[in-house]
Amino acid sequence: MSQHPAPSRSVAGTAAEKTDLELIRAVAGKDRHALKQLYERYAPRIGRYLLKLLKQPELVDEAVNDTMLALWQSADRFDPAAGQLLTWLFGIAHNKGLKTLRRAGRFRADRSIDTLSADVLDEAEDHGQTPQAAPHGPEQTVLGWELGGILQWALEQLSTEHRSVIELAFGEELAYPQIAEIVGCPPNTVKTRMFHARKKLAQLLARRGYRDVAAAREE
Amino acid sequence: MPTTPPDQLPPDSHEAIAMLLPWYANGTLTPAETAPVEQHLARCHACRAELGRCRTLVAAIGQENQREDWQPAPDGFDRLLAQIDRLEGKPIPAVTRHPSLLERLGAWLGATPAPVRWTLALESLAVAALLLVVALPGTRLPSDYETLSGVPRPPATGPRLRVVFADAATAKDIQSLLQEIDGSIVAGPTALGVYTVTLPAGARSEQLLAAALGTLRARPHVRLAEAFTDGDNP
Ligand SMILES: [Zn+2]
Repeated sequence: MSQHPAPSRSVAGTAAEKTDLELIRAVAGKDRHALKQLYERYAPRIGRYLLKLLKQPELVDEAVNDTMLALWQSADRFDPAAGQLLTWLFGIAHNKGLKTLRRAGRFRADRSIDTLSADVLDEAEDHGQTPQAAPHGPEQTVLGWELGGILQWALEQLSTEHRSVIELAFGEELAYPQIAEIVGCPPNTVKTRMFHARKKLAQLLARRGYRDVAAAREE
Repeated sequence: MPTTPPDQLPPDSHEAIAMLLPWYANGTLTPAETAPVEQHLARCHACRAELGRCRTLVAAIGQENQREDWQPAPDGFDRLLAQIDRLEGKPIPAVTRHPSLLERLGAWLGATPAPVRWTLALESLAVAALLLVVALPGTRLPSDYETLSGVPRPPATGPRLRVVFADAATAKDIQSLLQEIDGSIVAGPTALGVYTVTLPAGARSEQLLAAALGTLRARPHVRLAEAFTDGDNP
């Protein structure tokens, strides 16, 4: 969280920004203005994560809305002793996202490169679903937009479980105990999931000629 | 290594440290976790290389996120409030008089047969709206208004959506919105103001539906637009 201290947006016209705890307490008392402040503070970040999780922009609005509605309805159940509001909200968003995926009929929890045969992957390539392999070695393009496109493609091939851990750690820069709380598993499971997720990511990137980007070490 | 659960590894072993590197890279380890990681990094070339890969990912995904910013729709919060209003804020008088209305309404919605296609003569829409609002709290069933409408019923095979228009939306607003998405009202409004709209049947129904939802949700005259999922359909 070091990269993301208290959100910088301040409420127009008010001198002191209210803390998350003050706002969530007010929301529990059905204060709509407080809800608006939390919405402005967190909806963009939650939407960004859900966009990565769901991969379908048209589903994000609804999942963000569901998350903020749940915040309104269960604000009195937030326990500051159990963790930060951000973690709690991301946990709700994660669940709403999975629910949205199921509703959209696109939920394949166990989909992974292990269960996709090489034929399926090759077929996907034949249908133009993958970007072109980078013409240069990773040295030239590691941080360039070419990797950006290829990385996005690779991330989209991961299972929801693996993609969420990668996005929460590298995209949202959250600690592993926070991620454990968000996705609802023990902290050590987050570490193992990360290991496997990175290994799969590395395999996918290697297929496109990026050999040294994401690999989890293999013993 | 991946088969050994992290909690069974000695905490300062190469394997346990390697598992922490993604979070050393994103700067979220506690000081107590950081110290042994740094000691190990000083003497383990493999972990230094691994850390480099993690940092590449932090940078690449961070860059990706900057490019792909997400912002709620300008009226996103208003929609949320409208939904909250619907759920709790504005009880329909009939509901308090007849607590089972909502359940009956739900059953009615679930049991609505391939609905009447209403040609959108605006006057009849207004009349029908009145009729339904009056009729629903009682026990009249859809068959009543099908009879009333007297219109033959072509099968509705296109994708369907539920729409709630803003109170301020005029009949003309509604008509032009429907023309824009090529939709027809096939049922509604319910006592909660929900219309069922059908889109033309065709091969690209999923895109059609997504496009229509996008159009509707971007309009101030629409408080809610959502797809009729399969479970909703009779
Ligand atoms: Zn090592």
